[in-house]
Amino acid sequence: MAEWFPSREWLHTYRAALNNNETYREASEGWGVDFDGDFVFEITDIPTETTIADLPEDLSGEFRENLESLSDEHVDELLTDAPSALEERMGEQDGDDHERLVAAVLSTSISDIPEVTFSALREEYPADLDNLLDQLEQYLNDGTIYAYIDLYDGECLETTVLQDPEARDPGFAIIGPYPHWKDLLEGADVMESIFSEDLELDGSTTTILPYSEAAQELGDTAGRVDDRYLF
Amino acid sequence: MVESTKPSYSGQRVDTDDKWYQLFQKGVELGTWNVEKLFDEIGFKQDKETWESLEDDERAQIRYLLSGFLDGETEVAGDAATNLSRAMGADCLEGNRQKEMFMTMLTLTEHKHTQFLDIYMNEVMDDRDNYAELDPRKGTRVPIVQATGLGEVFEHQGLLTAKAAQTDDPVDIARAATNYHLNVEGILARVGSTAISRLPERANLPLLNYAFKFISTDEGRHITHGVELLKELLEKEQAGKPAYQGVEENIVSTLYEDVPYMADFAYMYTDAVGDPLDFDIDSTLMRGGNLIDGMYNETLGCDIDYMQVMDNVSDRYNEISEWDLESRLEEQERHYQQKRGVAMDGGDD
Repeated sequence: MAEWFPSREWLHTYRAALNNNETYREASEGWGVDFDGDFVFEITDIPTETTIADLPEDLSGEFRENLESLSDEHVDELLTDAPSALEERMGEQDGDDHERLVAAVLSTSISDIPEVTFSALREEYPADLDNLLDQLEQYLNDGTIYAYIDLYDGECLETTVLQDPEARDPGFAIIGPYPHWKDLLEGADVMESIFSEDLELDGSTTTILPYSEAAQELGDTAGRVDDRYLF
Repeated sequence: MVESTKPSYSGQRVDTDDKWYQLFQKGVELGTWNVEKLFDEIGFKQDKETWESLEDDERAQIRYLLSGFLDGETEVAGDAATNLSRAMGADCLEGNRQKEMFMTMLTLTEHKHTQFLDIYMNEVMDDRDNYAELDPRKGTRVPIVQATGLGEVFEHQGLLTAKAAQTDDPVDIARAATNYHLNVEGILARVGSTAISRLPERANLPLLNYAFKFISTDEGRHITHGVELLKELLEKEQAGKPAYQGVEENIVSTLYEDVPYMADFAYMYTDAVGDPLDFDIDSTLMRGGNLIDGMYNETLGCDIDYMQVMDNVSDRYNEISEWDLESRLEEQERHYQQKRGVAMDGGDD
């Protein structure tokens, strides 16, 4: 099944894809053996202004249905625990309580979700959406997600999303805004992205030079992961 | 790119609407800074004091960087005055008169750059023997330039521009313009200028810095010239004109041929001397990559194989970083001393 990008699950699938890629394995032989070959992908400018309603239909559609199918009694129950931020948002909507609840929740942006979400409402989230929103809450740092990839001698040893960007001190970082990462996953050339400064490489150019094919495969493999985009 | 400003005047022989005319005018307006006046007005006292206070390895680093420029400017001035000027009259090009007019400005400014560097290195820096009397036009480049192989890109420039002047063939002109305007001026000179622009953080050389602001502005117009020239040839190739077929392929192959020497230049003024002024070879090479993408890919729309670019630079970097540079320099100097001996003994020179 296609994984959502960006997410932990996508990163794990990427790791498996790298480790199954014979061309990458051969081209990156020796990488990281006598230097720090680990990477952080810094995905900046995550569009946190995106509302729940604007997320892909696969995610937002089921949630909308869940909310719309709530009984009026359940809505009344939910609203007894509603945080003041949600009440304020509902105050800006038209209709009865149920309609205003649905409209207020769906028009909430990713960055505002923690303010309006509460445990009873969370139970209405479909599993996929719940998981992804939980990850965004955990891993978003000022609009940036830090994905850690440990590469060593032809293998990807570990992938993880960093809660604390300072937790690791990688040898290399590739930094760029979300839309350019999406371009890369859709087939853009990784070295062209770096030379054109769509993505910035932080690390030793002279170390990477002999591994041009590995760098290419690192990008191409990301492009071959079966994925769906959160934004 | 060339701004389309409406010309104030029109003529009959000169097309004042032509973009080359506008580049010429910009050169007349902006390229007339005076080297001697710069020395008089800014002076070189501070530069000399700073130079004398630098450590030996810091001096070597700046000297190597400027030596690349000194030889490069000498070469481009020579080829602009002769081969390139002649090639601008080729039937396959449009607006020959305006292009030739622009070449006069280009030649003038390149000679001024040589003038500045030669005087600066002589007056401010130590009196290192550059074997000037052996004539740089006959291949006697500064030893560090010749020893590291940067001289090879200048050799290439001489060959390509001479061929373009001789054949007037659009593909040959494309190869010459690629080498001259994009690779030498657009990559090598630009990465070097970036290093010089960072010097004030490390060494207070106000005259050098001030002059390089002028030099960089001049180079910008020269690169525009090359880019516009290549665009003209590419458009004709894309329009299907038979004589122009092969232009893009040869632009790209000329990049692949010259790009290894980016490693020579970057290495020469960074790692070869231990990089005490922290010019940083990694950011230097990355800057070169950015410039390649900007000119070849974004502006000209050429299909560049970035892996090929990286592999060519990588192979060359591996080769030169294994060298014993000191012994190569000694070898080069020995060779020049022999040439000097031949000249003194009544040789051809």
